[in-house]
Amino acid sequence: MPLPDTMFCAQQIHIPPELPDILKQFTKAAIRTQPADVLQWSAGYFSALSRGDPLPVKDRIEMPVATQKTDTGLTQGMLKVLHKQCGHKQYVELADLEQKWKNLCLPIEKFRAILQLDPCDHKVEWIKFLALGCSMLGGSLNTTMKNLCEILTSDPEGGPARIPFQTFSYVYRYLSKLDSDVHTADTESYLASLQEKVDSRKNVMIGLSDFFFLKRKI
Amino acid sequence: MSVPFSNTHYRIPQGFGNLLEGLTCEILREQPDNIPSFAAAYFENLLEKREKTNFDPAEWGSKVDDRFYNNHAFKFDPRLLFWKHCLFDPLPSLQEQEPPEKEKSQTPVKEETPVTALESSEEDKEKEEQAAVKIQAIFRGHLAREEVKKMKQDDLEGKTKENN
Repeated sequence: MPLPDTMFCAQQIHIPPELPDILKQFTKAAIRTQPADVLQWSAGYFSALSRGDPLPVKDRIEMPVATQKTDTGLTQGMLKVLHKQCGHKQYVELADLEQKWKNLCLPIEKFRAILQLDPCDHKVEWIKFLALGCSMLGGSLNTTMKNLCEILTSDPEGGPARIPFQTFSYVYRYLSKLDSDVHTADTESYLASLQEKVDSRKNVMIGLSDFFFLKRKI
Repeated sequence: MSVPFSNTHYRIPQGFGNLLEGLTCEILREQPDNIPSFAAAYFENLLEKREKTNFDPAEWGSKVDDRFYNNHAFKFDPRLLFWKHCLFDPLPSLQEQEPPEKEKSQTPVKEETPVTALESSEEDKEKEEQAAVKIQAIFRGHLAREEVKKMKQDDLEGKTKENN
């Protein structure tokens, strides 16, 4: 319906039937994701929505855990969002990834820093980038693997966070190869010991409880 | 509106309300067929604008909110400025009564009153000028009277001192 030239009252405004729902979902997404730069994130949200891509939205609100010293904006939740957006492809174009990174209001220096760990042109294997991102979250190799499991798993949150052992060993080998202090023999023996545990199960999945033990303070 | 009361509750991001309002306005005005792509273009446009002019509607909106909640703005009343001009300027020209540029950008909502006054017709301007002259006259009279009062008091005091 074309609008008449003169507006006399609010009833004349035609509200598209799908608009309220779009706005509602948009608002819910914004509250859940808590973007640092709302404008940048909104642009990313709608460009993803119009192209039918997965949206840059966190599944649930994430309490700010970073202290001022380590605050770079990169969190597990952010990586999870990126994984949701890129995880369906094996390789991701760097330009595309950079845009998504920017739309999540993450600092571009961090992106470059991650890529410097393992330089590559044009495109990057997604699982590798994700692993490097997890290692950026800080902590040891074990914490990195824990974060990775929690992102990759299809178990419900707070669950055993199981992932296929194949993926686990692939990432573990990759990361320990980058770290020159770790000997290949150590890595292999560690993986073999884990393999024994996992093989006894029907599905070849490895969970958090298999390798990640909380250090108890006495 | 983000009211910072608690860390543990869902909070609307700073300036989000402002963005949402702008987007809704534009959609209702343009009535696009494909809302998501229109919204994408709209935000791209805003981003581009921000890069060029450094104007962030979200930031601006949060500033307005902040002013509303923390009340800094209401400590300053533009009408005060108006009266000051009327009283102390020898010849108040109406153009000068516009608040300086700085305040304009910081207090975009409240400037409505002076702006509407400025946009009024020539006749109104004349009236205002006359009113301003009147106010000036009254105030000057008041000042003069105060001075005379003071002089008289001083005189009296001096006389009493002499008498003593």
